[in-house]
Amino acid sequence: MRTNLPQPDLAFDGVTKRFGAVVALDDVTFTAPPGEVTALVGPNGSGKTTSLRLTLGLARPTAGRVLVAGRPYRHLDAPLTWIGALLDAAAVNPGLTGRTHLRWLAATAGLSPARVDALLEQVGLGAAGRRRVGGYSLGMRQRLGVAAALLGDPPILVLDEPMNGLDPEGMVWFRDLVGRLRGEGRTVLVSSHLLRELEDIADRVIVIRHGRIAVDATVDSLITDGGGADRRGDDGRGGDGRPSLEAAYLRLVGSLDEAGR
Amino acid sequence: MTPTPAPASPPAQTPPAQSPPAQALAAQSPTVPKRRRPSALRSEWIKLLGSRGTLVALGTLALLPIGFAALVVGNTPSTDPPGQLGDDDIVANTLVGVLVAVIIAAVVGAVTVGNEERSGMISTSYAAIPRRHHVILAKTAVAALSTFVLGVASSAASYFVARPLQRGQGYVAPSYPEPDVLAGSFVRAVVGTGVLTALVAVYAVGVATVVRRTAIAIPVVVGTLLLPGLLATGERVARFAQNWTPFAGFAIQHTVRRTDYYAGPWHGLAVTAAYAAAALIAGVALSRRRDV
Repeated sequence: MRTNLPQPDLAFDGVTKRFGAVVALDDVTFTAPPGEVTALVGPNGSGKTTSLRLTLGLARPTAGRVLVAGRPYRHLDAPLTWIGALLDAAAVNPGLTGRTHLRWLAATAGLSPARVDALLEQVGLGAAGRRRVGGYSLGMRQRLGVAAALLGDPPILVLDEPMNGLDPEGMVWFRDLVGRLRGEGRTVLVSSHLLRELEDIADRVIVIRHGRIAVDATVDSLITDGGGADRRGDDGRGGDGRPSLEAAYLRLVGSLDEAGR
Repeated sequence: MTPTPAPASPPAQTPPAQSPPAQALAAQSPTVPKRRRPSALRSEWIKLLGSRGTLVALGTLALLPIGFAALVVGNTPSTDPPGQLGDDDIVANTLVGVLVAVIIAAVVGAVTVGNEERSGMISTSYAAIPRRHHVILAKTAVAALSTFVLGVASSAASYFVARPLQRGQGYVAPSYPEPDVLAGSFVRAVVGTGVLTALVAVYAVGVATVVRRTAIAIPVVVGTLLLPGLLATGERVARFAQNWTPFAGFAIQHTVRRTDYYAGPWHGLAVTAAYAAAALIAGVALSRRRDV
């Protein structure tokens, strides 16, 4: 049944982005493959969001290119059905209801209003969908953003800081969702400055610092290589006694800084 | 659910079919569920109908010009001596509500872009429709059509409300024979008022796309539209304002010949249309090049 499906990935090919004298991204190359959750990690201002905006054709790379399922974003037909994005969840006209917001989005891809209602239920905004977005909490906006990303049932998803504003219940919901999307063979690229959030959901971590890829490694290898010698007590170890990803990350970043990079 | 390897060549330009999330990608089968055509235009209609502020503005566009015209006309007595043929343009005078209509149309046009720029939703719009000129042109069409329909309705209503009040002020035969509502000049004035209103909305969409701020776009549009008329005190300035500034479009309301009418109705409307087109072209060109 699925053999005739394209297996779309998301590829950065030597991408550089300059804003005037500022180099936001410097020769970034990586591929997020289907069926995996790739995490883009880095401090604020490191270039994560710029990467995702380049992916969505919202900004043009100074050099290199980003390919979505093998083609530049601007050449996608009904892009919502190829790639779903959660960027800034607050970026919705506050006067629109959640349902109206999804309905106009659905119209751009020829999706039915029934799909909108199903998605509102799925993200837990069934009743709130008829209220104006201006009255939503941050967590509700994140859920609306997730609904918008899933609207076209896309094989590729990019999620920028998706856990911001989610309550503990929302976190659990979101982890389950990402696990399910991966299980369905989708390509998931998720950014965060909090590695702790990604520990249980990411397969691979790409650390961006000052616009360059500092680390590109699987979560397992990161923890094995870096976590063994951790001596910082409970902060450094997960609940199951494993060294935590965050500890490994902080140590890694520390060593990068010492190396003067 | 083991993913198959990616094909070497780019996949065919057939997006995965819409399906319930549970079935996920498995729904790609020969019997693809029928989808509607993707439509930037429908998407912009949905936004317009869901925006309370814009709907309120459109409501005032339908009603306020009528009230304004009634107020002005009902307090403007005829100064022509009885028995002599007067030279006031009584049809144009009943359509004076256009001054209110164009301001509201400027608001309607400017907020379609400005609101999205302010909230950041323009990114979502451009991501959903990467051919950005489709977004801007859909906004233009929606703003133009809604302001045209309501503009024509309110200008026609203005005449029928204001004309009896005008008669009460002495604008009656023989100085002022009753206008023929089927005459070409009358229809041109009433429908043309709606066209002018829509052109101003288009002008505002263009300017707002260029400046990306509602609060800058509205003063720019209203200022360039009305100030030339207000500042034109001398004959030479008035001649220029009526011929070559965005203000020229108001000539479409003229139904008589007067010595202070320096431009023909169609010439005037065409000049305003040219300004609207220029602003729109500039906005589209910029929107395609800019990072958002």
